[in-house]
Amino acid sequence: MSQLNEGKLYFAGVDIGSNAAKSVILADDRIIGQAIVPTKADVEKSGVTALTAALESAGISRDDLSYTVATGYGRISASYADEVITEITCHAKGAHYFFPNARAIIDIGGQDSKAIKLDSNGNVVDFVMNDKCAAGTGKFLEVIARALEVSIDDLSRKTLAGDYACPINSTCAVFAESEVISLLASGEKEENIAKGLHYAVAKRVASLFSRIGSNGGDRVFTGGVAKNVGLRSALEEVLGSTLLVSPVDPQLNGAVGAAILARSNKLEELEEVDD
Amino acid sequence: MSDHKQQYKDKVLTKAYLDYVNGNREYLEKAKRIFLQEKGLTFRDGSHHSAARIWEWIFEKEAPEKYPNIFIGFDGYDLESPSIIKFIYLYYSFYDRLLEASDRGVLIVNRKETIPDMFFALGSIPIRGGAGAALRHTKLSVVPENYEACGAGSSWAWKDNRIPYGAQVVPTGVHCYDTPNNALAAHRTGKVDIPIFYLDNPIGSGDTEWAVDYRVKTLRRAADEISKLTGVAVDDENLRREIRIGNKVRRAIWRIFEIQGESPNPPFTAFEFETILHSGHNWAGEPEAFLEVIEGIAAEAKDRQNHQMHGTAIHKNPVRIFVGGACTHFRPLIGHTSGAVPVGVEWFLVPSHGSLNEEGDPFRALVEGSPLKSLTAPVEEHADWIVEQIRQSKADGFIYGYKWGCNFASSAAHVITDVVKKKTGLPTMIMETDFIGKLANESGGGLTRVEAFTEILKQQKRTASRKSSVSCQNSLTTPGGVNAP
Amino acid sequence: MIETLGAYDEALDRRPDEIVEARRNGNKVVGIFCCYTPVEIVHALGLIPVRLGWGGDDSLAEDGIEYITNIQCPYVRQTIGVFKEGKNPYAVNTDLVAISAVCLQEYRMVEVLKYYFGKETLTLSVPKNFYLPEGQEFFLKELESFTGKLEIIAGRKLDQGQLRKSVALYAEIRKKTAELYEFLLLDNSPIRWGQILKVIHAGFYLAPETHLSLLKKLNQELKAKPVSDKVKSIVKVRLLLAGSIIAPGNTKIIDVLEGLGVTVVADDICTGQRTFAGLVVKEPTLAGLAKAYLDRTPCAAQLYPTQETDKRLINLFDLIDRHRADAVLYHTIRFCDPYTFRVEENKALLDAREIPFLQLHTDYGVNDIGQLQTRIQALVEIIKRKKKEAAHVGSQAAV
Repeated sequence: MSQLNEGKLYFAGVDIGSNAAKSVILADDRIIGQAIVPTKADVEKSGVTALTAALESAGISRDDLSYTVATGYGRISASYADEVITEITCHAKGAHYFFPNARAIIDIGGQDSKAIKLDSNGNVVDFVMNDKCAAGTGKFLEVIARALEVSIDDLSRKTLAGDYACPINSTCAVFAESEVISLLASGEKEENIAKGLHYAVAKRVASLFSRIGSNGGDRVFTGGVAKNVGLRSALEEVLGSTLLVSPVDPQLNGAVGAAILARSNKLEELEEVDD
Repeated sequence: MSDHKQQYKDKVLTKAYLDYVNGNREYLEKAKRIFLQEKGLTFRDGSHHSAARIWEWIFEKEAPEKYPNIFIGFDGYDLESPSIIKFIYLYYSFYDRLLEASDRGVLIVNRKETIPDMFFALGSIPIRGGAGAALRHTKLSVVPENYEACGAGSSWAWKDNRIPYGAQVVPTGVHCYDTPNNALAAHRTGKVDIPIFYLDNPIGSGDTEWAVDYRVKTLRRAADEISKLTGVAVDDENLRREIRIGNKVRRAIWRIFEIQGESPNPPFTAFEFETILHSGHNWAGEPEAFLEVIEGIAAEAKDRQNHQMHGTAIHKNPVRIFVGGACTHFRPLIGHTSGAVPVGVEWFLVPSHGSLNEEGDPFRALVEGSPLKSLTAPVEEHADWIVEQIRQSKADGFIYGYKWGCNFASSAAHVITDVVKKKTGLPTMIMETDFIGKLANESGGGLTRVEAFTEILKQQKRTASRKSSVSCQNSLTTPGGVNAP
Repeated sequence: MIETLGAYDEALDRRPDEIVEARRNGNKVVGIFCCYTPVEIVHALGLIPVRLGWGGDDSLAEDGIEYITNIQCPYVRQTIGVFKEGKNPYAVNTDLVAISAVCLQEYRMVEVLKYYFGKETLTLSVPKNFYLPEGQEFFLKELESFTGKLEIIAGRKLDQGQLRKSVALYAEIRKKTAELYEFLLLDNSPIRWGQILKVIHAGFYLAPETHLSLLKKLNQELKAKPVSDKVKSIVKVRLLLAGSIIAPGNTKIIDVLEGLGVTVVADDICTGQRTFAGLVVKEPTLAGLAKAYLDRTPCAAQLYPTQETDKRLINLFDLIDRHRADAVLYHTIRFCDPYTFRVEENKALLDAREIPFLQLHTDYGVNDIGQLQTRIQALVEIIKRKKKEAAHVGSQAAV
């Protein structure tokens, strides 16, 4: 109990994903620093880079940290972390931090997608993951965007200008690419193709989501792909409900959750010591 | 206190091995001095294997060269236990002894999910599947080729003649479907030319009088076929004798499961627990020696329980997981995680469940007392059996696993986990795994799922303990007590 | 233009209402899975037999995953999806689901229907050692027990006279169906294979008396059609379709083949030729039915010990010979273990006879149609070229 009275305690969360490494710094329970850097071949270094950048933006140093939690695919090599926790548990805490009424999360990352059910305390109740297939992940859109030589943002914006969602039959990203090219060749509008693509991803994700069932409450959209307005709109339509997106970059959600857990686990430890 | 740094270390945490790896032989030398005072093991062929020979095989000669994976993992065997040392010897030397026996003309029979008693009585050595564990720990690698079929269907084992099967007695029915299909396909495409016989337990037939009669006749016919090959006559009294030994083996293994489940501090690490249960498939090919060793382990387990010793590297207050499903066990799933311990593995428990009638027609006893009943029963009854074992082992959570391509286990996944969820209230998870490679299921995705599930269980335990401590406080301060939250 | 097919469509349109009406009058509907279930017994007890199971809809197959997994065959997954949707009149109006347990996946599917949709179910266990006397003894007892349970549902005992009539009725249906296949022997058959399959599938839902009467009409109509006297200048390729179940609604392969102008001259599918192949009920008794059903041309899920006695292979080669098939299209659906496990063996046997063999491994999605077309077209081109060469050689020899 004594340490808390002496002033602020600082905590860090580091989420090392396949595409990007994210880090968030908390002062008690307020976010004071954040960073997103690309994940390079040296996964451990990428995590350190993200942490360092976040610390810089917070104006504190590593020595000021009381506790660090690492999560994400690269958590195994995070030697600087005090604890590792899976991204499932972290995403739940992150979403709960912003939306206490959240009971379900859809997280779409660069290479996987997840649906998580949580309780009123932000604890995970059930989850389902797709990490074997590009369909329903950011990768799908990335492949198509590259084939069409546009940015993912452009592709997303085109979606909103489409008249209808041109059906894309291929569930496989690789084959979808060929399908898109032949659709263009047959004269189909880019905007309709873009819309169809986003709907294809949304349907896959909705199918994943249906496996954890609904429990009322708010639904939160997290992960880098939550910034994609085209996909968010498609997903809301397919699911028939609004999706909440955090006020800070949704890509940081996992790191936020990791930092929250860093705080709660450290405080628990301190309580035990003081008891 | 966090132990993250230890979580992903690729080393065994038993003191003996750590010392061994760090070049400190003192601990191992001490363990050796104690072990050399043991009497060795005698096998059915009359050969005696002294303690010295056993120690040499494991630590000095054969195993370090051929079976380097014995001790890999962050938990491992308790080398201070003489029964465990003998067990290691029996379990890992099995493959070599099998090859030697085959050279001497002993018939090796692939028998998949049946139980071994009858085959020993007929002078053969029965193997379940590809003698998976033995092979898995060698330096051989395994590549399955089948169409959307599980790689464990053991076709690779006999296609490449890695195991010199002389006959196949394969069960059909609500069982591994890939094995009989593989067996037939290999036969029909000329890759294999050994007798195949199907032990038919017709899908959905249950325990009606005529179903039991049919299965008894089928079993007798299979025994006759095997007898022709081994030259050992079918003798009912002989078979009853084997059944008596078998019952004791099954009882001892089941006792180990019970002790793990009863203890708040599980005395066995995942590695030990699963390997011991798994050995109940084949009895390392030596019924009497194996019985002696397993009963020794059960006694030591009781001793550990009495002293509240838990297995090395098991964390304080671990979450307890019961694993169901076919060809699925825990240790490869968790790989490097900590905080969880298996308290039951359905696939390894099933062959050791129950007791066969030791009087009367032994074939009828084998059919009526078949431990595999839970597997072949209608899915809801199968689920009920699992629920019973979950309750016995006081598990905190249930994972149901199946191999990609396994129709038999996957098709039951949702019904079973839903029944378990309903009747126990425990969190459940379904996992699809792959059998490719030497130590399966250690891919990132599999690890993450199990870790996330463990985190859910840990959180639930924390919440439960906080609730109970709060209610304790309330009842102290409020006269007359207060309702628990 | 085949008029009787129109009559079939009309009969099918009326059928759901007929069934609803019949149920209102106290009749019970038994939904049957798998052709090993002796439908004669169901009929003789005054119950309404309907053969269930559907295919061809990827979206319904996806829905089924919620109750089973994605590594089950699409047929099983879709059928679950159909029950979940709750719109199909035959699924909705089934009082009892009966299954002869030959295929493990189908059996599990029925367990799922029981657990999640509350369907009352009844299993007829089928031995895999069906060629051994103990297997046959077992099956007869099993059939007797199955009948006993059906009697309770029907509220009456099985009457021997009624059974004789039902056996005769279905024997006649099989005979008339076999006659349809005879038309495929002709170079210019008045009916396409895809249409025959639709007729057989119609028979799954219609009252057998209706089905028989329409079958007779159809046969007559086809016999009366003038045989085409077009000169055989077009080289026709005659294909046999073997393999996994083609459930009602799964027209993907049929559409692809007909779209390419390919002629299918025979099949050994359980919803096609195997509804009658090798099934001869010699005595109209339970024992006679038990024997006949075990002896019938089997599904690949029944494991014959030796190639020489394997009736499925014997039937296959018989069809190839009689129907003068140029090649075998072996159609398997994903995760159909019984049939995919036989590919290597079947290919080897056909290679030995120099009969081209093409496996089409697919599911209910529409994204591989182009691939299927390419493969089939390539095969057709090979066969056509071979035939032209043979004819050229033949005509030269004649000169």
